[in-house]
Amino acid sequence: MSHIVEAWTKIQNPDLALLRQALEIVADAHGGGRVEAHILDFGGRPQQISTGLALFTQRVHRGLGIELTNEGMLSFKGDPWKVQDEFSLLQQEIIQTYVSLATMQALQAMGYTAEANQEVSQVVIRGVAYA
Amino acid sequence: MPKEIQVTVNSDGTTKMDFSGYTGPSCLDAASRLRELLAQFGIQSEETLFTPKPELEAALENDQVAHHQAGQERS
Repeated sequence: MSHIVEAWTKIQNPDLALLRQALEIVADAHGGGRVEAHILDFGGRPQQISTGLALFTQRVHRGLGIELTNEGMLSFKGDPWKVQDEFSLLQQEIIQTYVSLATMQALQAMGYTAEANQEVSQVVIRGVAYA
Repeated sequence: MPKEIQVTVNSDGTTKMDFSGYTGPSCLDAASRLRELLAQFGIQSEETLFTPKPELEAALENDQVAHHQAGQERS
């Protein structure tokens, strides 16, 4: 009747509208967080990002851009100088938030009532169907 | 009993999906449908661990026995 599956996930050809939503959520959770279409290089010059999606926070003030490889795989671009930890954390949060949003939408498309809760470093999504 | 899917999304990108309240192996269909829908968002998952709960294990064993018996009857 039931089972448990554990899996690695990879993101290829993401839905850019959903990705923007994920970035906005992550931006809201950080001081000075905002979404822009560019990052800044070490000289403060804007560098366009092909997806038009880059996240800035107070700490990551040169931005973290989201690019897609030729194969459509998600990749991150930016200058992590002196903010390596925050840079890595933001990448994790973006991926986690994107997967969570997609899961919520998928469960709703299946006719489930879905709700999400942040629990320490995990997001737990519960979908229930009574039919 | 409602059908429930609990998905835990970890910070390292791994997920854990827990299916409960299903009849027979229908949870496998739900898992397959969920994978299909996630693929539409570009999310591909590579299964690292599959743990059937006792009820599914019994259903799968019965199914295998039924297939085996059907095969014997045909031959």
